[in-house]
Amino acid sequence: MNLGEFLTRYGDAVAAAVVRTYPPVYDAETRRTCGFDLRRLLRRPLGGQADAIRATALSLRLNPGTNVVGEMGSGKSLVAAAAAYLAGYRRVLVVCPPHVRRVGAI
Amino acid sequence: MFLVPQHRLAVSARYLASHYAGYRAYRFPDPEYAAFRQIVLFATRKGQAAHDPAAQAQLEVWSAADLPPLPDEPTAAPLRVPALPAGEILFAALFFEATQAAAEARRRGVWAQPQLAEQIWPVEERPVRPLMPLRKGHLALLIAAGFLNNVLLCQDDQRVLVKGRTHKELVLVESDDADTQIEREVLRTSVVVLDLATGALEVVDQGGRGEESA
Repeated sequence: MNLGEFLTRYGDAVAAAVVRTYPPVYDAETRRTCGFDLRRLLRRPLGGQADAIRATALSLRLNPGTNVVGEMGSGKSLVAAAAAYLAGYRRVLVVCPPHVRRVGAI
Repeated sequence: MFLVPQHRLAVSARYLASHYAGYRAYRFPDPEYAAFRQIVLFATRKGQAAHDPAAQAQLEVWSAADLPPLPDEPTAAPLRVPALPAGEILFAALFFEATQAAAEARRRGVWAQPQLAEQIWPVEERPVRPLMPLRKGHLALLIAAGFLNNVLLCQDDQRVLVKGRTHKELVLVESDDADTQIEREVLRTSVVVLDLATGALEVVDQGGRGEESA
């Protein structure tokens, strides 16, 4: 049995076990109660960006060391900037290669 | 500069004689001396503590002798006060209450410092909580990394126990030099599924030989 077959056969049970063993910090309940108002942002987040922004802002409140990982073009810069703003940070230092400076103009 | 009741100078004589030199002692001017019997002792700290019996004897004599009153003008070369080292100045009592010290140690002692705690109790031993709900791809990574360990899975009346672990192996690497042997540390992950109904063991193939680390 390889890993793919294992996941096909036991995927649901594995998912339940993982949620039990590693409960997420941000879930549907936290989404409702976290209090981060995304309407304060100048740009409207798309799709899953809204959850990513709330979750990252929550993580910044709990622990300043937070990584945002995502595919190219998925909106990591927007998520990071918006989360820092909603978490209460008003002075943000952006470190990036020179050729992506235009992306940083959010 | 040590302000002290004159008769108490003898109590500190041994300590002062060991740590200080260049003594000058004056009694307080009247009427303060008559009221408080206090003296002032000037001395400079030695570079290294060393007991000086002669100085101790001198201080013990001064604790009962008739000392000259503190003059209004300096009678000898002024003492040079060294510059304070940079940093915060801490005023603390020489004596302390054991119970208060224990409470303070629990609150701010070395055991409460995160730098030490992370050395003694590594982060890996803390419960892991992902920020967002995990997706199927994450599950595969968790299993492949050996995180899903000693987990009982129940699916369609089938109960299996998953045992996953990651360990390191040393692998010999070809070397250009015949006299040199090079070993590389390689991470190996193994996932084994135990069927609790039949007792059958099945190894989950990872589809690779693991990720090499330097």
